[in-house]
Amino acid sequence: MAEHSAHAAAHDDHDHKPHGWRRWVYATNHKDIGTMYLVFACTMFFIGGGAAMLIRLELFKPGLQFFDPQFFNSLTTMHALIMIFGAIMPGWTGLANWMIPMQVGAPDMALPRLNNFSFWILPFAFTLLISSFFVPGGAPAGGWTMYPPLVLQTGASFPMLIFAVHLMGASSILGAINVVVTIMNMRAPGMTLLRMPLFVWTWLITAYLLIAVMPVLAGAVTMLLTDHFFGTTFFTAAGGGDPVMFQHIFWFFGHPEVYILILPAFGIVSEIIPTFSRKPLFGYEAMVYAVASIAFLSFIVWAHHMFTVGMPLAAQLFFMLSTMLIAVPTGVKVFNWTATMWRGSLSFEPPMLFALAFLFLFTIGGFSGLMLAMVPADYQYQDTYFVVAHFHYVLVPGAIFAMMAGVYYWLPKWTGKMYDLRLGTWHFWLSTIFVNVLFFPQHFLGLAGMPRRIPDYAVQFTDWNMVSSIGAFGFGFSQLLFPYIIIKCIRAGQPIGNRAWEGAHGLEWELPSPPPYHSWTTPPSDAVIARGAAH
Amino acid sequence: MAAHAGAPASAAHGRLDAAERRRRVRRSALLFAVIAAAFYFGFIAMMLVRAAR
Repeated sequence: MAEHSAHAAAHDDHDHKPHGWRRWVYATNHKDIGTMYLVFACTMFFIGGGAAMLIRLELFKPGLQFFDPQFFNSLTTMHALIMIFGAIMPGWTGLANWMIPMQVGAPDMALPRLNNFSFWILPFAFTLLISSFFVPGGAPAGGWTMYPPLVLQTGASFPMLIFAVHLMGASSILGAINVVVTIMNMRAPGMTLLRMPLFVWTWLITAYLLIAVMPVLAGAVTMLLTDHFFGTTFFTAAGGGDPVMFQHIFWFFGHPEVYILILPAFGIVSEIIPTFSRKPLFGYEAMVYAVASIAFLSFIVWAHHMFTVGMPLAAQLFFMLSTMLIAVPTGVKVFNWTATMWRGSLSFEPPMLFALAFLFLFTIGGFSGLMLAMVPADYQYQDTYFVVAHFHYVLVPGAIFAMMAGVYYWLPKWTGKMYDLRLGTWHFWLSTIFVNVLFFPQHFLGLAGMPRRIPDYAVQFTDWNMVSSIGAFGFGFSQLLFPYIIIKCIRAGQPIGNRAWEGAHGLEWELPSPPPYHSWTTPPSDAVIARGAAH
Repeated sequence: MAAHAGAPASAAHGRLDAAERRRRVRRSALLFAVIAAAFYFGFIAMMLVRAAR
């Protein structure tokens, strides 16, 4: 405690935070930038969610109800791009900005101005992308995968799409460099790699993935741009190019991207389950190695997304078996989370509830992923709603639930106030019930043969589509509770102490709530680090 | 501390002096930027080589 007082005193001397709009536009403070990332991600979540609800509105009944097919395809394309690059990735970067310096004992990120630049690229990128709805030909409609030759038929929005993807990529790469450099250079003395919290570990590995694969996506879309405007034929068969090569390059980025979206979720769940089980994490080192193994394997499985394109038998076998291999480290993680809870003194506050839902529902997504990994089965499932159900189970009750768990876990630390736990529990139950009503029937639709990315369907699929749409509206509207709970907490939450949760460990809980403007201006002592690293 | 705009510099932070930490931060940031650029240009170059065959 004496250390805290000394820390607070030191902090007071330096707490010259700017005010007004300058605080945000010129922000170099990791917490301010983290807040901006989170607000941006939340905004994009509601815009992308709005697109999803329009999609489900159209699919409520067979036949064309509200939109023409071109606009429907624009909605599916933009929903994916906004949710992946606008909601989930910036959401994780926001949490990284807030938590990594506090968790490694650093005063801020290593490159604060770069941090500011990384964030402010994003509003321009998404303004550009979303405004493409209003240009002749409408928004991009060829799918988020941007496969040529279809994407080359996009109208005036094509260069907007390409430029926006370049900007998003640049933002992600710069953010990732900042994370790696911070973790490698700014850790407090005594904060060894194997003392780092799992959230920091998962983000370190995610950042390496980002640095390796975002430039690959940028290269692929640059080649699309030159094919469209400068007469090259990288992917145009008529000129000797190879459209299938685009798919290989895209998925060389795309599969690690899946893990970019989910690895930080593993980190957050690994923080929350021990806290609310009041036990150390079972198998900390195994968890670190499992995350590293998953990241490595993510580079050698890309072609499982394109089995039906046609490839040699040996390649099919390789990509099938390497994909199945991912189940091993993933199984280690699920086992360790379960073992952490075993005979723990469990309590079920909103962060734990969301983490438990993650554990069950992400595992369902993992199982359907294993089904899709099998080549003969994949020939049946390819491009059906089964695939849609699979990746939405991974990304919604997977990534999004973990992000909400993280916000509910650290919100008392960020604000110094406790939110309305009862409303948080309501938010959890409504989300969990409706997310299953929304996505589980899509397994049945896919197995019955309903194709994805269509605005109309055969009448035999009507019942489950109606159920799924009702789930979508329920899930969508129940998310309005999330910003309400946060705003209510900021305005009228009950003040809490440094350690908001009884079982919480980690350096962030050694700081006051809310933490000082600059986190650890004096590095924490070895004893404080050891107390925090009680995993 | 590194090239820091907002947070107060503290030579006491860590075992490294501020100048050495700044050098390390810059060196590692540049290294990762070069790696990212290599992936970007490498994949385009690979496609060009493939097309030339």
